[in-house]
Amino acid sequence: MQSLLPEDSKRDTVIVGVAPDSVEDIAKMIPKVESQTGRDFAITLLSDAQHKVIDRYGLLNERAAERGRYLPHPTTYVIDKAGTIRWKFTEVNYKVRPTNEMILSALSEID
Amino acid sequence: MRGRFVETPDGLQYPSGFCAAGFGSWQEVSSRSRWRNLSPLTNDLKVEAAAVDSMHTPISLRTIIAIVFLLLAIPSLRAQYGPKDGESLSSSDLDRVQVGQTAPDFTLPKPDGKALTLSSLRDKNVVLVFYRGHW
Repeated sequence: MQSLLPEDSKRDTVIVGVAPDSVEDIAKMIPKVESQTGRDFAITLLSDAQHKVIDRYGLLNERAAERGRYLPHPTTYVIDKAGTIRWKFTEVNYKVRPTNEMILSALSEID
Repeated sequence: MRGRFVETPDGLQYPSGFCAAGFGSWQEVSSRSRWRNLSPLTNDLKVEAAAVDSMHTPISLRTIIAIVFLLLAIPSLRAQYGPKDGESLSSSDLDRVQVGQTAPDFTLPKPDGKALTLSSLRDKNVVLVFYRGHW
């Protein structure tokens, strides 16, 4: 998705990922993905192994949690420079994901 | 002191470079502690030993305090990861964080172990993506 950003918004936009994996698992995963895709991993991926931030955002998938897997409902927010949420998409059905075009369109509507 | 045997203040002879220490084991030690280990001590040596001890006490105390603070700091550094507020909220409420609100602030570790705080990115637009992970 980073590669789709227009040059001027690349400077202005960061993609921050949050995953319920450990720092170690994330650090191992990134070079794998980079070797598969042949390009730099452009997302700043953060570890929320204790799912505290996932919980704070209210995104914990309770059905998975009952089975001992603490996962979020995959959700994307577009946040402006003032820290205000301008766009949000939650995938309750994980097969329905926001397209890059949807996110880019949301970004283009903010400064 | 350089000969095969040394005479100690108590008048006994010991092999040079050795003394009785701990539980009767023989080990080579510095000349000062050799004399100190071989009782009885002279008054001068007692005074000297006391002076050495008092010199060392503030340093070792300071060191102990520093270590204690470091040990206390390590868990508190870890504890700062997570959201800035709202830890008592329910963990599943998809409508809680809405468009138009300020994104709840948090600090989490990056793959290199350094912390990132969401609000430190205020001069940028942020696409914040929550992944299921377990790739």
